[in-house]
Amino acid sequence: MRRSVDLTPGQRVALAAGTAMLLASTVLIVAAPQPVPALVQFFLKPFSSRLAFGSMLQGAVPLMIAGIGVLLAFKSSNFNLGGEGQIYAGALAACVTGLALQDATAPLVAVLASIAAGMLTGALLASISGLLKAMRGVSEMISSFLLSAAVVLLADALLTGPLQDPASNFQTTRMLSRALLLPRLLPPSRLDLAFPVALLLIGATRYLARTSRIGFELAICGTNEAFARYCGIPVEAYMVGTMAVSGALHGLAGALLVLGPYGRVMRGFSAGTGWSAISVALLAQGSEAGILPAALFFAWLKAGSDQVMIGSGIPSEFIAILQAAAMFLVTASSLPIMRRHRKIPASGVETPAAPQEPDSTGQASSEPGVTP
Amino acid sequence: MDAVRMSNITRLFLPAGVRANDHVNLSVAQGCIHAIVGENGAGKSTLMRILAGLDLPDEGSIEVEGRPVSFTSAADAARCGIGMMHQHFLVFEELSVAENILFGQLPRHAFGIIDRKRLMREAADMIQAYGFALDPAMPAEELGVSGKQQLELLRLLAGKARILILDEPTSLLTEQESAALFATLTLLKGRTTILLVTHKIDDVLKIADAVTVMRQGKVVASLPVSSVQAEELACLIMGTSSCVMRDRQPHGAGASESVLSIRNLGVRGKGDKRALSGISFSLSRGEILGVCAMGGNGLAELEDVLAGFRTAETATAALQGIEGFPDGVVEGSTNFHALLHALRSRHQLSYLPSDRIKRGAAPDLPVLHNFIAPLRERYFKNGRFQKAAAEQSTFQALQSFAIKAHPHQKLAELSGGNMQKLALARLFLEENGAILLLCEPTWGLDIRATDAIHERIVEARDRGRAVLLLSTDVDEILELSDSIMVLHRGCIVFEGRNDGTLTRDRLGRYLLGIERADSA
Repeated sequence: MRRSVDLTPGQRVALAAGTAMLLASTVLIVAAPQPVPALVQFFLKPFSSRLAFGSMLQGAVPLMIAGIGVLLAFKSSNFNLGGEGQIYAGALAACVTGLALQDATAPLVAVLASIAAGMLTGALLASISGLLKAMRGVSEMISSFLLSAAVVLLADALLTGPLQDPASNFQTTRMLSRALLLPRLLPPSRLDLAFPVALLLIGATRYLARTSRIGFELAICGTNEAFARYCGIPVEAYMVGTMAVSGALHGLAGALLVLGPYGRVMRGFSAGTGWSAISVALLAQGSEAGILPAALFFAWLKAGSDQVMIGSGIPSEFIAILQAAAMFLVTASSLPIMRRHRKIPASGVETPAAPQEPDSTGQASSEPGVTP
Repeated sequence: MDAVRMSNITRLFLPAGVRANDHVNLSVAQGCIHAIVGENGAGKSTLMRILAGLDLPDEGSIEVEGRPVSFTSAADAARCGIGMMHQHFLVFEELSVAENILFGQLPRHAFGIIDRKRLMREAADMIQAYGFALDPAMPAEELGVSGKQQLELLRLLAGKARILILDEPTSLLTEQESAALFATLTLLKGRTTILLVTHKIDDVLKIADAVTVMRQGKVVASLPVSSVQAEELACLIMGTSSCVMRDRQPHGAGASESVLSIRNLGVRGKGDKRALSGISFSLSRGEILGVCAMGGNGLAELEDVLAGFRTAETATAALQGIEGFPDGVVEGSTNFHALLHALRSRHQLSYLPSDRIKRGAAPDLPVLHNFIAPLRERYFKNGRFQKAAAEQSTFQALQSFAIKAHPHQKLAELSGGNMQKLALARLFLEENGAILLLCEPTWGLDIRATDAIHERIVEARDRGRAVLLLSTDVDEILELSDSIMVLHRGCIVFEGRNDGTLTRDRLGRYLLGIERADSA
């Protein structure tokens, strides 16, 4: 029973992020033929040009939107692990809708319809898990994960079959018409209108969480379900509702990727974005505003390691290790919060007016950050 | 030689900076029963946790049987012969009584296979040696409260504990069971040193040889019990000079207008057992109906059904004069459930849950959120949170109930007593509610907090609310109730007015099912 120093969530995140950076530098120094240029490429190249900087910001967009989706579910004690499938399916639905409407209606209508289709698809997928939890007590973590795994395969099958572009050798849909694509903000980079949309979304969620009755009830559902029932909050409705909104946001992230940088859906479209969004939400430590720096941090890691891969001949496996290590550290540092959310504390009878004894929660909290 | 000597123990809780123990000195003579008394938050549990190796002191030293020791785990303490019996029993429900007693030292054949025969024999020997009546082969989950307590005591003794720490051992027992426990403790005395944490002054006077009084983290007195009076002890505990123990008279005004009567309430239990059957009672304005039962006899099920957390199998309800509800009879379990739900959501039935943490609070959220949650619609205008109004009513409630807390403090940081007072303050916000359903309102609270809460309950009754009090605490039932109902194995075994003829002893006999009133 060693008593340890209690770090604040902020300190813990900073420690994890710092350690991740230190680890990345060590890997580069050891593995790169020329360490100094590799370090420069990793840390500074993403900021060196409009193209690199814009691309990095664009990389943060899906993480911000899907990250908010994960966070929302997370705050109500629902864990949406189906992000991969929801992004993929949302993108595919948006793309198919766009392709069907682009010649028939005005571009704005087609864009809005695509976005709606993407969000609806994501919402439907995720609310299946919400419904199963509300009605049958099925763990939403497992059902959303399994459902997503199946949906990814289904989408792959559609892309290699009925939806494949006949003119292309790749497993991809046809390209959307240029008129449907979102305006670019920082040419030549692919940064587009989705970035301010994501910022607005973060702001709006934060505002609603703090001032609305739904935000208040959600917070209560998230900390203690029995207490929520005691207060007469319709807990089941919140299970389904938050999962649906979370899925809709994942679908939105997918749709905006189609309408933005890619213009089409290719096989393996989500490419781990759903998982990264979970890390982003964990890194944000339950704060809506925290999503922005967290998403930017992950986008920076990704952009930096991409630069290194292009520039210094380090095998891509090294880069994968680096990203995985960063993700691992950040996730580990966030776990105590997650555990606390799922745990019902012991009776408070006879405890003095002081926080619970640190050996139950505090000890674990500082350890993951210093593991390496 | 002292069995235990704790010197200068200080335990600081950061970041609030509260000294749970502030330079505490404690000497316990070998082979005696030493009581540790004090209010909630006085630091007695912290001190005992330190002695049992469950917490580390920031300062100070411990000597056990003359040797300096330093514990970093409960196992360290156990090696020195210290065993702690917790308020919430640590029993393996799925295992047999024998396995529970000898857990950690099960007799084995070669290759580590458990020797069942020897296990049963050794456990039976131990049970007999201490004069208990437990069946070693019985699954522990079938034991009642006092059986589980005996089990835990035996496990500690089987682990060669020479110094026993008992945390509030009588809080869940009837008069008869307490007497049996005290007989066992008297038997153990001499061979074993016993530290008894309690806030029942009667227990101290009945059984202890010496008593240490703690207040606000400090020891205020350490005396032999032979030289102390009940009032003096109460004054020491509360730190006031006037501490007359109140004797409340039941209202006894006779039956007034009934607001809700429930007939033939039945609830399915585990397997084909009935958790409750044929329960009928009537709640009247300005009256407290106390329902008493030992754990596992249907009180929890009654609470769950009335609070809408569980559906009954059979039920009929008759309503009269509740604002917004038509008078009349509601039949069938589904309609009954819907009625209770409507009463709750329209704030005509206010409910204080017995599990104040699991059901009654969101410990990770601030006091303010916890306070306004059940009546949140008042604090959102046009969909926007009215922060100032919420802060003001929370602040008022904190003041009027003398709760030591700040609206923006996390609820988990409050003491049990303050948490309970907050939960109660919340109920009193629903000013016009016809019915109060109060479950274990003072469980685990000290004299002062209990008294404050009892005062509020009586006040609510006098303002014309119908109060249904579910409690396992016999004293509380006798002190507050106008009418009393006793449940045993899910059936009513007694019901009647609390007119003074009902004694603790008689109530205890009903609770244990030794006796049944003819009327039931």
